[in-house]
Amino acid sequence: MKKLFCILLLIVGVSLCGCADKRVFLNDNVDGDLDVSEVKMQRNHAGFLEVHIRGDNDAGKYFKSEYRIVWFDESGFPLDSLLSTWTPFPVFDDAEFYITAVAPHPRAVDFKIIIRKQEN
Amino acid sequence: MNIRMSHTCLWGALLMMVVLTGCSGVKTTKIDLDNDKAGDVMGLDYRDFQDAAREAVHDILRSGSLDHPRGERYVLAISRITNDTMQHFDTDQLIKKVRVELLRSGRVYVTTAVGAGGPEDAMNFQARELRKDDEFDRGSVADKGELQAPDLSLSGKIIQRNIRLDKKEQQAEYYFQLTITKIKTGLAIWEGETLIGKRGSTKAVSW
Repeated sequence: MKKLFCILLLIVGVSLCGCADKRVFLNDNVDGDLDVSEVKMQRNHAGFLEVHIRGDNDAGKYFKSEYRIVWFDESGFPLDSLLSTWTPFPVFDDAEFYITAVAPHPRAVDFKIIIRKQEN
Repeated sequence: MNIRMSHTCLWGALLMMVVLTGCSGVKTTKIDLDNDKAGDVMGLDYRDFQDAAREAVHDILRSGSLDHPRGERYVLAISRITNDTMQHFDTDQLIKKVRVELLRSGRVYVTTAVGAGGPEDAMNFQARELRKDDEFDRGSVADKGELQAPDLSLSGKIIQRNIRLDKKEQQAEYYFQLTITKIKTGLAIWEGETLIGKRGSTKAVSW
């Protein structure tokens, strides 16, 4: 019984770690159909911050999703940009998905991203 | 009897008018531009221009094409952007979004003194006419040789192709093609194309 409890605890822990990055939010409508496994941030050769996100499709079927990313400057203020509008991306059946986003200004130092299923 | 009939008719007509007024008018609402859930249209709407502009800007900033070797800003001129679709719209619906983002990025200045069809802002030259007018403070009038020539040019074309799939369904394809050219060499340093495709009823208008 104790062993089973430990295994359950481990499973819950692993599933929670799947999207441990506090800058990534999954909307309620995702409902376990996708999860984020990796978040990388780097400054590209042009001096703009880039974010690479990798995740998995757990729904077992193709669907369209979209993300909205907000970039913040050093003072924590959001940078207003066209690049912060909802951007669609495909989530293929039984495959990883990838998001690559670039900051609108070299002043950007951080980001927050929300991912949801596209409804229409 | 006749009077009673005409009264009934009048009340009936009045009631009908009230009902029709209440039912026929679709309520006007503001579009929630941040979360617009309305269905797509066969023609181009603001969401298509927004998507095409966002994709272009994203690609330009990632490419590093606007990196000046000395860390300065390039001067970008807006060249001819052709609307080769069956729809009437101002290509600025696309280009303004792109140039605003590029200007904000800190990598370019956009010149309004040079454009494909002449200066975008005629005041660049009209204000220089004031050199002849003694009423103006000489120091506040632009000197000769102060205008900056463009290093780069942004040009493009929007193309539409309509395909009839069957009697009931049609397909409209919209290609947003943009190019940034280095004026000194005439070489394109960035090119991008965004395709937006739509399928719908043949009754829907895409022009």
